[in-house]
Amino acid sequence: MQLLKIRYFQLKRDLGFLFFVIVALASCVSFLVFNYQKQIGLYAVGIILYLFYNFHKNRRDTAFINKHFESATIQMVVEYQLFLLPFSIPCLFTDYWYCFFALHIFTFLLPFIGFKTKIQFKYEFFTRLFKNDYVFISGVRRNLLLLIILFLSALILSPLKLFPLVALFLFNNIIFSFYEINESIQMLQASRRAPKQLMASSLSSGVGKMIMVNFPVLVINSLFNTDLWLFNMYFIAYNILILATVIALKYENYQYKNSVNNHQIKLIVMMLGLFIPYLFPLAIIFYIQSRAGAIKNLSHYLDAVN
Amino acid sequence: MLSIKDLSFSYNEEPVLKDINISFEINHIHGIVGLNGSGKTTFFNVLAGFLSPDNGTILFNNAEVFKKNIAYIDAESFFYPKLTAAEFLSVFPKTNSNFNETELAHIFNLPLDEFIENYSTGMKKKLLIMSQLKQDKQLFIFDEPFNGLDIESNKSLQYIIELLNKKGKTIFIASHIIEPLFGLCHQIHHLKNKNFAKSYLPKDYDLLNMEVFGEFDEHLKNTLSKSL
Repeated sequence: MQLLKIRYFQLKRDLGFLFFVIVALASCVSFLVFNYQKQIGLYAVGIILYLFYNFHKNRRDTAFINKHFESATIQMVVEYQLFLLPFSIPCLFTDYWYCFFALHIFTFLLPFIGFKTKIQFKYEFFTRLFKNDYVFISGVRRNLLLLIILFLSALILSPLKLFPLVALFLFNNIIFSFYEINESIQMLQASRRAPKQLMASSLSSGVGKMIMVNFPVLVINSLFNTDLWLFNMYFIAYNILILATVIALKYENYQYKNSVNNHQIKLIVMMLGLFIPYLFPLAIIFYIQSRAGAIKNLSHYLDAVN
Repeated sequence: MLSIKDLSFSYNEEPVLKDINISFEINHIHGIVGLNGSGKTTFFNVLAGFLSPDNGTILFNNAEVFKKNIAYIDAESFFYPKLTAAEFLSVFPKTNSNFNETELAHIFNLPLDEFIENYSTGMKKKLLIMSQLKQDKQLFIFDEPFNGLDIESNKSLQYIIELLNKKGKTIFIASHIIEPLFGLCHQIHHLKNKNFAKSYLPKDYDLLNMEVFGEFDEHLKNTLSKSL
């Protein structure tokens, strides 16, 4: 089980003992959510399944695993089944006990699904719309259909209570995934920006686009559900914090030879903070730490002054 | 002159480059040769500023080299698959006024409106080279530029390197495919035991072939006879 061995080393390196705390927290949250009130549990199942689907679709190590590991698909199945347990076991003690099986069956099938898309549409207006923001142009092209479905769902359902936020959260999650890929050193240097400027411009560009999508949905949602306006503000602020941390993490770990950064675990902790406000300080700490690290690391690749 | 003084670099306290003192003529083409693991790529990374040396200085005409003036063309680069080649090139500022995207793309046989995901390894390499030619840089570092290129593109690249040199650019090339180096380089430098062992002028290239690659043959024979 080489894959589990790698995950063990990653968890040990990134989280250490904190891993057990997070597993316990995730299990508690999962139990609370499934016990909360009618139908919430089903949304939770949707989110969990989506997170696994998104992770599997965007994972960059599939080719490596398939090439070098024995019984690669089985290894991925085992990986998903194990990482699902903190979320699925609590279901068994609630009215949603049957979701346990739904979750495990879906994640069991996941590694057997191929995602290679043959769509070659260029949507050239993206180039004009996003003005050389290659992270967005490439990312939107890869996920266009899903982004449209999620945005329209959020917009149409915006008068309702929970639905639009779930759809927006999933939408934002896709946007975050754009920033998990390292651009080449040549593209990084093409901006001719100093590290702090590059960080600021990446963030402002991402935040601008995220607000453009989130704002109308949240405003309508707040108008129809006046008790939610404060949570909606927290929602957008927290999503901006996640985006800032994703960008900072990317540049903190940037190595021109690696196109992928492995900080999924930190990101999952960050995302849990949306539902567990107690994790908010931890998210702030992650951001401050990563930002300082990013500026230091970028100074190897960019001139201090432009 | 590009002067390197007392340059040392180590990975996890294991020295990779040690006390390098060497001067490279600017406006020249320099080949760097050495066995796998001899530190060629590390040397390039230090030269490009990606890695900070433990100690030592690198000065280009007695001044620090700005990263924006260095073109680094590595062996394998990441490309966003869902960008077209034209979009990729548009990311780079056009500071070389002579750069003609359409003509160069034609010479390199690159369809610019195609998604990069449909490009072969050689095409990606040519695209990367184009992106660097679009900018007016002083120093060009090519790490294994001839790998994955067909004969025609190989020739085009050699000609481009010569042209860049004629325009006063300083060029460094590390390559396992040595034949093009003999025709291109003003000097070839042998990296061995964490330092530059010797520099060869064109008249000494036969000697280089014998000393460096003769040694490699010997090394290979010894290793294989022990391992098999």
